Amino acid sequence: MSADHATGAPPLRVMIVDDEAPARQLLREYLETYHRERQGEGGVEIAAECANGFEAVKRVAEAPPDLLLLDIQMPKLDGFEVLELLDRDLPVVFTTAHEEHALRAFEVHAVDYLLKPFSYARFVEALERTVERRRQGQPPPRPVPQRPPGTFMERILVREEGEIVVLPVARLDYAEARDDYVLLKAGEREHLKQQTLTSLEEALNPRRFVRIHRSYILNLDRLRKIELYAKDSRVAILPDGSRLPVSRSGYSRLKELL
Amino acid sequence: MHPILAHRRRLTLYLWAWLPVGFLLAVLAVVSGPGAVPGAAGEGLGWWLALALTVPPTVAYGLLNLSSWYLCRTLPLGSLRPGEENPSVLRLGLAHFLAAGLSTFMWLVLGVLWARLLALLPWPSGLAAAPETFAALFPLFVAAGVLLYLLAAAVHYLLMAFEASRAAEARALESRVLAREAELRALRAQINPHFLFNSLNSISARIGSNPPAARHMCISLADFFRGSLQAGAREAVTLGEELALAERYLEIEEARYGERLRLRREVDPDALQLTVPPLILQPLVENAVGHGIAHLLEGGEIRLTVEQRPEAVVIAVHNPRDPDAPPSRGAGIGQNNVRNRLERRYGDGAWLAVSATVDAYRAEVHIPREGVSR
Repeated sequence: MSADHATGAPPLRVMIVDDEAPARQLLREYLETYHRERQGEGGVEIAAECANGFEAVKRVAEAPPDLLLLDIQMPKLDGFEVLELLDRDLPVVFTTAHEEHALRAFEVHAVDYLLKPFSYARFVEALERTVERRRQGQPPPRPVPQRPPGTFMERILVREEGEIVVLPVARLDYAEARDDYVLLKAGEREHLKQQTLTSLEEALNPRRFVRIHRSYILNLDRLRKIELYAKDSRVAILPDGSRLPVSRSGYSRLKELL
Repeated sequence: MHPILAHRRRLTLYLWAWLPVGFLLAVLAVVSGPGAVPGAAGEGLGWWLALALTVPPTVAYGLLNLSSWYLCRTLPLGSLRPGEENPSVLRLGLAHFLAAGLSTFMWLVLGVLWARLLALLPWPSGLAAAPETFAALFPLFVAAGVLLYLLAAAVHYLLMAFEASRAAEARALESRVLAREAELRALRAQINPHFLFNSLNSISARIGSNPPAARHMCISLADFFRGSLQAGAREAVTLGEELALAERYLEIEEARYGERLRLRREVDPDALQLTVPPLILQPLVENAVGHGIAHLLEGGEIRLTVEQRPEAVVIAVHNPRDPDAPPSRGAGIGQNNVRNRLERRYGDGAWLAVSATVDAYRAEVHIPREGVSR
């Protein structure tokens, strides 16, 4: 007798993330049907239903599912931003009415990409692809969210003590390198994010954010003036009076933009 | 462009038309008096002489009279362009009679030269009398010259009117085609495919658990699309119809967003019968949902207001928005559609104004009062 007989397989735990109730209902129905049909093989179980990205991030942290059925267009956090915030690798199937994100979904190694409205058969195909991956023990590849060329990050996401801070880039005054973290200064508030300053620089629009120094990225809108401080060393002065060092290469980058 | 010279077929036809005039003149010459054309009563040579003296100069006169167009153009009968003053009847008559006299004089000179040329021909000998015969026919030629000139001028005026009306027709047709094209383009842009896909997904979701709701949604969707297409094909709709279409749209979106989408209507009931260009409200409502409500976790209320002011009717869509939402792309398409439609209909008289605060957005259409009454 084989020990790993199919009936012994645990159910596939699936989390539904969609801001539209009818879309969640459809996924629930499809999953229930699938469960009835494949009970012998373990079937599926609905781990959670989330109406927005925040909920999804929270529920994944509490109890990670085996599969994420993820909508892309959602308020506050879109599907890709949810993935960026997850602290673990999860197989993802995107469900969306927008075909234009398919390339990006492929880049974050989504298991599948379902275009709404999709049929039950097409849905089963996506689930089976997931099951197949799981059986082969393939670790789901690490998603590396990438943006389409020519577009830039518009919101910076920071996890802070179980909370998610969404910081629109327009509100960022400057970013400062702090070892493995970057300190994000936005008005009175400061946030620490585990990221390198260089990777942040790459994600931001170079016409609006300038690496003025090895350790600083400045939001151009916040630059009030540049003062010569000593020979070849300058400081950038912000409206609130803060002073940031400007390196020689940083100064030439600034001059190019101004 | 000369209306006759510019077209080879017209020119041929025109010159052919002068041939019978030449024959008629020959007949008149023969019958205008015994002895006017020697031998006409007898051997028939007089007929030849009459034909030789009248037909070729008449056709040449036809050519000469093509120039009357230049005078006709400078002195149009009933100006076709507004703002231009019509020439007075006196000036018109005087100019044309002078031109008629000049043309006739030139014709006579031509005739004399032609008669001399005929006399020089060795055969037939009967033509030797051509110069004297022509001199005897002077009164006839003078009368015919003036009349024929006036006739040619009339023909030119007629052709000018014909061409002008044809050009106006072509312009009207062209502007209709352009308007239609713009309408179609607008409609194509307006019927957002993602709206359709998401609605179909909502229908698909309801089919299993709530078939009547699914059917209801199919019907709403069909009503909305039919309404859009019909409205798009019309010049104007009532504000009531326009509001109904926008509400149909919102009803479908409500099935997707549920509690998150709420609608408040503050409409002056007297305004419902006013007429507006079609599809000015729906694109604004679509923006309010797509760029406002869709980005809010808890959704919000869309407010439709119609207000009658002394000088204008103001139709506005208000919606809350997420202060942190990235700058929206695509809101401009719908707004441009509305702007184009307003401009085509009212010129500068109507406009779309948008204003945004941190957490609210408002799009307002101003239409002048005189533009909306039935």
